[in-house]
Amino acid sequence: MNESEGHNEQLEEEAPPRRQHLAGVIHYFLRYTWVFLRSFWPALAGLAVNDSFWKYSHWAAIGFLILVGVVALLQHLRFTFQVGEDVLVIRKGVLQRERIAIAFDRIQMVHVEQAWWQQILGVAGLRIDTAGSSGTEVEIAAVKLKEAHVLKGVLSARPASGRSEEDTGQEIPTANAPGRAIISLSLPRLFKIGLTQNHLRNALIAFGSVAAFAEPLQGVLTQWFSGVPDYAWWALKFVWVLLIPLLAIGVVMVGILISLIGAVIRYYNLEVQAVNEGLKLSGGLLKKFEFQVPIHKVQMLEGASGVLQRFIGFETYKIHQARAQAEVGQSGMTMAIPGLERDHADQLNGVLFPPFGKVETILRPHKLMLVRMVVVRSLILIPVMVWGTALLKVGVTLWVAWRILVAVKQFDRLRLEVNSTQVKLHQGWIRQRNMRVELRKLQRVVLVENWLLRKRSLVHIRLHTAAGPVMMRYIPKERGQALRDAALYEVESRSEPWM
Amino acid sequence: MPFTNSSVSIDSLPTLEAADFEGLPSRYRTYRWMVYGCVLLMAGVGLGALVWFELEAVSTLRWGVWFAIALVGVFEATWALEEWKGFPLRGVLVREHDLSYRSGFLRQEVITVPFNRIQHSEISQGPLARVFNICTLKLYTAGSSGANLRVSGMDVERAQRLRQRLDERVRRA
Repeated sequence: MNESEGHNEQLEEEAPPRRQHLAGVIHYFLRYTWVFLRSFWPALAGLAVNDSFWKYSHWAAIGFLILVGVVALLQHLRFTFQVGEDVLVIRKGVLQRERIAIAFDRIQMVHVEQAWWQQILGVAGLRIDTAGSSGTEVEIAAVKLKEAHVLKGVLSARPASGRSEEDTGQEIPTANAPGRAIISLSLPRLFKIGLTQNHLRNALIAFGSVAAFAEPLQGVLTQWFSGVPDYAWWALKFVWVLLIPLLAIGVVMVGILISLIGAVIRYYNLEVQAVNEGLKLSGGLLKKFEFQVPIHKVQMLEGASGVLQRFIGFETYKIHQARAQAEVGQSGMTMAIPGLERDHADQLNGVLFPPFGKVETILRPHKLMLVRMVVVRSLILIPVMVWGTALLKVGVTLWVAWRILVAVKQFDRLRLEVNSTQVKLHQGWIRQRNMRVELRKLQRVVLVENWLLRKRSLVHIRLHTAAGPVMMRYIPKERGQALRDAALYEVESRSEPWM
Repeated sequence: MPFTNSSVSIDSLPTLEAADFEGLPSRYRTYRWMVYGCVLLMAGVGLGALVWFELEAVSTLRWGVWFAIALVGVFEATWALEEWKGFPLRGVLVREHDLSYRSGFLRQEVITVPFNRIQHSEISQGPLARVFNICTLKLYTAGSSGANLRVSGMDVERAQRLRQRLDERVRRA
């Protein structure tokens, strides 16, 4: 993040630099310990099986804790923050001093977070997301909870860039303004959300983690397995087939359990409110959070639902904000709201976007796209048919047939609804997604054609927002060009804030 | 200022005309063919060495070597076709409110960046490009990594003038 030199004079001791709450030391202590364990756990696990390591382990642990404690204390002492009229200045760093100045109008979002230990001590952390080109995120680790809310109000409730109170004629909303509830997740709803997650993925992640931990503990496991009597191994040779269904059920159960636990930890007591100029989200179990998203900073709204979610009428919505240059691929500026029913989703859409109005054009891909999908998905058949065994041929053919069915269904559902100011993309079959974007917030427009598309007068179009692209492929060239021209007109003719 | 929302006819919207794109200097074409020639030379030397070692070892060329020769041949031919047919298509179109760059023959891309979305711009020039007096203009917008529009092979003076204009627009935005 760049230093804002122009703000230097404005600060002029109007609010002297302040330290965080002393609990900030705990924050740094826990963070550095965690970073150390996460970085060196394979080495530590390797050392754990060495007897001589245990001889000196307590001294090593004491030395480590003292070192981390001293670094955490120094970090706390060198960290100050200063709130000016329109800039937040943070000074930090032990060996390398750093001064970060963040103009309020560059602040995308201010999160108030409360981990379990912060809840006990009555303090909270503030995380400030910006959209600067370096993509830095700053953090105030611990201030009193009440103060955290006041700071959030000061940092969030600023006029949007390029727009003042006089221009809009409206009162600037405050972060703590009461809002209209869109959704409040009760425990039964949370339970349903947990049940409709992707259990297979969660189970695989869990088993992957177990496998990763199992390798360093190989010695312990070998010792444990050596205690299993020989007749048990002998019996296992005959009954292992019977264990497959049990294992499958076990995997599903573990997946469901992990999904439920994950849903409760992430979304406990989640409340979404529509406030004057945006959305306010709060919730969380072990780590409580609260933040507000101004409407004009929302770049894209993405709804997604799996089969289980559609079965009970739920959809998960993701609100995408602008990503800075260095943040691509990260999900830091995206907020997910699960368990939304149709009317909740409509309310959310109504808060974040102007009414869609009449759909002027529906763009559908040319059937060439389907042909390409079918050909690509069938290519695996060639080597299998030439070199594969009979069983493999049958298995892969069935798999390819399923993939082709999915391709046909995906192709059927793919469409881009366009009007003069917005687009909505509908895609996916088993996992359905829809994305909504205002054309005026686009960053750039790209038209692509290759020799095959050129022959048939088709193009691909990519509408890039600051939160990622919306792509529509194999559409008629003149329609693609018209959409590009309309999108550019929207971007260039409107001056409302977009970030 | 009172809010207005008058209707706009789609036909009246300004369109990007393919004919309006300005080509890049012919020096850049020479530069690209030089790079192509160097790669062709290196590939030729590599293949020659492979053939020599193969003939030394087994006095014949096995299918793997023929495959490598064919692969390099197809790659070089495709590249040559792209350079030959693609260079005349490369071009820049600067309008009042946006900049477009068209490139490619086998896969043609037209990228348009509105001026009011440019975060910053950059001009870069490598040692070989300095010899040819050309440079690369890079434009950055929000929401992705690296430059979002790279116009390679621009005349340095034109690029600097254009960048100056862009910077003025960005400052005004």
